[in-house]
Amino acid sequence: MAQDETAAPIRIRARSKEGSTEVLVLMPHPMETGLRKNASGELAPAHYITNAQVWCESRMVFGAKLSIAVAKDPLLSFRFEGGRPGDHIRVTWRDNLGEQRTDVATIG
Amino acid sequence: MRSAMTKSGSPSADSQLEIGQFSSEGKLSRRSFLQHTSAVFALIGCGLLSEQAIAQADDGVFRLTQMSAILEQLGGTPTEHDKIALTIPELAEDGANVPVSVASSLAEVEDIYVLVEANPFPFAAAFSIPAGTAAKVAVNLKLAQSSQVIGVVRAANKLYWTSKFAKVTVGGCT
Repeated sequence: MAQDETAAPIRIRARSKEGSTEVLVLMPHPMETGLRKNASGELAPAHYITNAQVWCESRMVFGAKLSIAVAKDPLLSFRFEGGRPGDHIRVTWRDNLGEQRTDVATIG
Repeated sequence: MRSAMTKSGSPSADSQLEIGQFSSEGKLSRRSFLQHTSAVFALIGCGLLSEQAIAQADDGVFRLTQMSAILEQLGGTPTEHDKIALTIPELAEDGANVPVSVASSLAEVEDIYVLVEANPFPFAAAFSIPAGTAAKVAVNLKLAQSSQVIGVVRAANKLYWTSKFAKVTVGGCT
């Protein structure tokens, strides 16, 4: 019945500070475990991000494998050496239903 | 290469990670806990026993229910190390959203894993740390119940661990 709406954009905040870049990534996603009953009393199918990766330009700076034990709308934070204001931060996630989403932001 | 799990007698490690070692707070081992039907139904209701979800997981380690099997999959028995800092609230009011961070000052960190011992599937998340990225991760987890939360760090292809106990007021079933 009610399917998930198209995934909302990934929110990316990247700030360069003293030679390194701090990144906050919010990936809106239901992270359904697969046995929760929705308002209609039906089982909401399992739907959760399995993989996420972050690049700064062509360099991969972070990778994550997630599971049903990760809370709704996963929020990841990390820091990497380098990165300059204006560089592109690209985030991609994939989920167990084969959906994926990529968003890009620039380092501020 | 996978090494067999050693329980004791290893000269290299002061503190080996052993099954049940974390259960300092709980009196029940996970197996006997799961034998209690009502507890099992509670876990099913909270959605953490979804066969469908687990069958579609990318990596087999996420499907494992026993710590020993998980450690074998990771490639060995981690040794306890104080250069890993795991931050977690002592008391989490909402088990469906528990912030955890794991940071390590060890050299050459490659991966950081986060496990929730009392979850039906303890392996919760894995992070890869490319060279040049700080060995510090943060993620919000679902805890089915009060549990040891374990951070495992792979550094220079060796495994290290630390853990903290988190009490959960309302289990991660909403």
